[in-house]
Amino acid sequence: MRAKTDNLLLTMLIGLLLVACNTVTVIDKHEVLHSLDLSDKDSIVLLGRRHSHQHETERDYISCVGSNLSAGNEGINVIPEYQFIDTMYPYFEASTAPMDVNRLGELVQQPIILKKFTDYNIRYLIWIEGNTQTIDNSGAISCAGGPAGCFGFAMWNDEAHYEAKIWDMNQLALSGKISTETQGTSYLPAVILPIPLLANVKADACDGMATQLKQFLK
Amino acid sequence: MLKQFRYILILCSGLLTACGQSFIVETTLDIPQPVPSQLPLKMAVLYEPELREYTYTENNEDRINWSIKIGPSQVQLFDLILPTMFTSIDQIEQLSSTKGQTYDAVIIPEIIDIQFALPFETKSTIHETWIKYAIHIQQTNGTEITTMHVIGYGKSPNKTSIKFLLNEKEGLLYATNQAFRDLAAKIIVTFQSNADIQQWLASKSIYY
Repeated sequence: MRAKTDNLLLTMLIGLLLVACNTVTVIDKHEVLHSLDLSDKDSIVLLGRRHSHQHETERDYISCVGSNLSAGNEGINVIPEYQFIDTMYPYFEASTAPMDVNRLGELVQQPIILKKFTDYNIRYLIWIEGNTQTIDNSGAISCAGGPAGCFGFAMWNDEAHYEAKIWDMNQLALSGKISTETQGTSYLPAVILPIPLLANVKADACDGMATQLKQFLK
Repeated sequence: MLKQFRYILILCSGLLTACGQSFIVETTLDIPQPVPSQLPLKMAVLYEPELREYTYTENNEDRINWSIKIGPSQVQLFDLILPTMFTSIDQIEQLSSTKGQTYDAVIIPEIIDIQFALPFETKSTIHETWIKYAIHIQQTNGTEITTMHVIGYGKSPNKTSIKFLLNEKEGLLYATNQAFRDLAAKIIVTFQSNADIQQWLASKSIYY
């Protein structure tokens, strides 16, 4: 009887492992409005939109996309987000940053701001808006403590939506848009010990965005 | 005898208060140096004692003996941003000090309100701070040019609440510093776009 129960649990676990960590990138699309031209000397800066406190783009997502873009022999020069924001203070704070490219045009009329862009060799300024959220969850786990450990099962669905808008600093115009949508289900079975089987939704959305941006810019 | 009894009572009461969860901190300021965009103006700034010595106090069941000293950080904030906004800025002790001087205008910052929200109050994992200012800008003869109302908001990174065994005080100070950062940015940007200021500058043939 004990062996039968163990087999059943094992089968359930293998079954879960097969379906777990299932992340699906639903849509990756891009729209080119102007041709792009990035030389080896040029840099880009990736900035997260955070003007709405409820839907802020995560800092770790921006740095993940930046790291992916700058990795490898053909990596792109990416200015770290917070280095740029601090250097440009107070003009790129969450509450003061230009919301459209026309406002950026007004900003670079200040010679000192233009000089900072020129010093960094910034060719494209890329705004990323969106975030990863848990859209639903179910199940429960109870941890009584002591030798009994934990028992139960929980699962949740995460969804990531991100959109990047590419601003051309030479033409002061919107050059293109890229979006990525990713979904995934994570499982947490617990038989004495909880075993997290996590879907890397945000990481997959980061890879999807970085791959598209690389194709777009190179 | 009665006098000694009174002293003992005061001492006991002091000890009881000290044993409570007093929250006594002073805010600090750590914000970037703003990009200078100086207007050719000779300005004066008046820090009233209410601003210079401002301490937020509260004492109730949830916030026992709260005392958050904010004044020095506020003065530090204006001392940091104003020289990046004007070619000349002098600190004055009182409005009458402007007599016989050739200041274009006087800036008088006033703190209107400050609010804090703790994770257990908002059922979140962040600390939040709001600071509201009225920045009075007037000519040396007392005529008001404008009053800018600015609100600074700051929050700590996720999970600074005590339930995550991290420092409660640190979360609040971080959120307050972020509010100062937001406030300073808004003061600079609002000054550049305020219609009354634009009109006043135009009367002096000064344009951004």
